[in-house]
Amino acid sequence: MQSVTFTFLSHAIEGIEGEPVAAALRRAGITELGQSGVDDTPRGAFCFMGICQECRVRIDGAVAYACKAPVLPNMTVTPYVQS
Amino acid sequence: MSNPDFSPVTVIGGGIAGTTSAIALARHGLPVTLIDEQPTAGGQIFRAPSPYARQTVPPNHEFSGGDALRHKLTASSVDVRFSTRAWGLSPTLALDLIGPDGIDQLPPSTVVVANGATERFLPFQGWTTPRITGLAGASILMRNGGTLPGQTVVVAGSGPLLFSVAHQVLELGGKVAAIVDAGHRSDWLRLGAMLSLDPARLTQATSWMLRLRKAGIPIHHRAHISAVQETETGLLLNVSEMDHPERRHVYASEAAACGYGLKPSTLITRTAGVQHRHDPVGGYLEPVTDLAGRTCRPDLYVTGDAAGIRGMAVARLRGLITAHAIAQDRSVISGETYETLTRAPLRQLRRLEAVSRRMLPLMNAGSAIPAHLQDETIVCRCERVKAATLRSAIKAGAEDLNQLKAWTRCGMGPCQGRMCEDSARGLLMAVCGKTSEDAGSFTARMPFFPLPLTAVTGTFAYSDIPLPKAAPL
Ligand code: FES
Repeated sequence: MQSVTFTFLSHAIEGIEGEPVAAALRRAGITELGQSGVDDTPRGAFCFMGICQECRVRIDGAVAYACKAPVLPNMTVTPYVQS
Repeated sequence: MSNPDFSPVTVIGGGIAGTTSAIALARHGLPVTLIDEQPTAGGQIFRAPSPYARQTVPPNHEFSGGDALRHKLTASSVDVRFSTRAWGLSPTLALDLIGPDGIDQLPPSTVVVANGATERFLPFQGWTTPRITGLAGASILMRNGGTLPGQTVVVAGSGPLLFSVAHQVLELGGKVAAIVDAGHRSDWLRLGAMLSLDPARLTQATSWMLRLRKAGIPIHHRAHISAVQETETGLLLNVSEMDHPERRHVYASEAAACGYGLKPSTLITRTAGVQHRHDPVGGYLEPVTDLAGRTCRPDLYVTGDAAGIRGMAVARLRGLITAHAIAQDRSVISGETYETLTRAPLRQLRRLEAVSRRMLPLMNAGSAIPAHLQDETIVCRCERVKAATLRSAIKAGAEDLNQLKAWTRCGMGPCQGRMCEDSARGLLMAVCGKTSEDAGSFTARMPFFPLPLTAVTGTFAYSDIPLPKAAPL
């Protein structure tokens, strides 16, 4: 079990390498992963199985599911802006 | 016996049913490809735990069962394609895939659909706050992520998953503020009385219930979350009793998990054009299959929960029986061999099926909820379409789900209607008395989920784009 650090917005987050990004963020107290493209209210991981699309973030620029994408050292996670 | 047919078989879904089926098909000497979106086999129940969960979650049947299954798969000759999702299916069953190496297509083959179940969600006022997750989702986060949704959790919805999730919260050191179940207590008692037929389930259920009782967790039956408000530290949840709307309970928690039972994933089977029927007990659409998973298409089989929700033990048996049936249909084994191979599994299947079917009304206990949604409640999370908008569209004449979608955008967002379909259908049925069949389903569309644009276009330079000559003026 390898503890690593990554960033979400401006926060440094500790996670375990290989665990889902959404799990590490939740232990850090972060549930809001972005906002709804329609009414700007917060959205976060809901289904945890790749269906709801609400956990989508950008990891080092590429769109990814936070419920599934593995934590890697030094990666940068930002909200995915829905259009 | 005619000549055996050893042409390829593709299994979609590496859960218990799909993996069992793939291994058995390979033993019959058939070339099998197994596709799953996760990085390893296991599906939702036997999903491999994250490195963090391996350390934090107490050892359990799902971990050991999953490890055994993965071990068997590795030892088999099955060609596996993990981290790979099917996003399209042609009429001849060529499969469009997206995986670690981008887009790919598998040529037409016999397809075994084993893509399991999806959760049914029903909305309430305020349910889009990120502190609320699905019930199966919470289970995945805890079992496979080793992480609590919050230190205190309200567990709501219907079906056996309620008690499993509540138990998982305790196991990780969290507190369950309340269990809110849409089902009748008497249905649970009736199920309990049948569990002697299914000793594995009986042992598990007994240990969960003892632990939950010892923790003194309030359980409300025939109740549901009617609204939630956010506070500085978490949530305030209003719980209403279905038969006594005047009785209300309020709970505070950091998070809530909410889901109303499972239904088969039918996107692929509907795209393949096989016949489906509405199961009134389960309250869902399922492909029409025989006991072995044969459909009206000779090149398409459906197995496990994708053929109707029966749970893990039945899924394994179904996967096995489907594999033997394919071998027999291909003349790889004789009718007598088929009989011998399936005698014991079929006997077991019949016994377990009886118990499994008892679970269906408990899972479907929330079916009356959509009729009473408050006007301001968001039904479609993606497009933020409210119940009032849907009601007026239905009153204005929207006849089925697809018309409702075209008129209101409900179901048009990135989840492609997977989150709102059941509640929108429930509204149609309640407002204008439609049957579930008449209300229909959102038309299955490809790609089955949003594809990253770069995956579709590949990498290209602008100079590669052919420019059509300007038309003469
Ligand atoms: S949480 Fe639903 S897709 Fe990730």
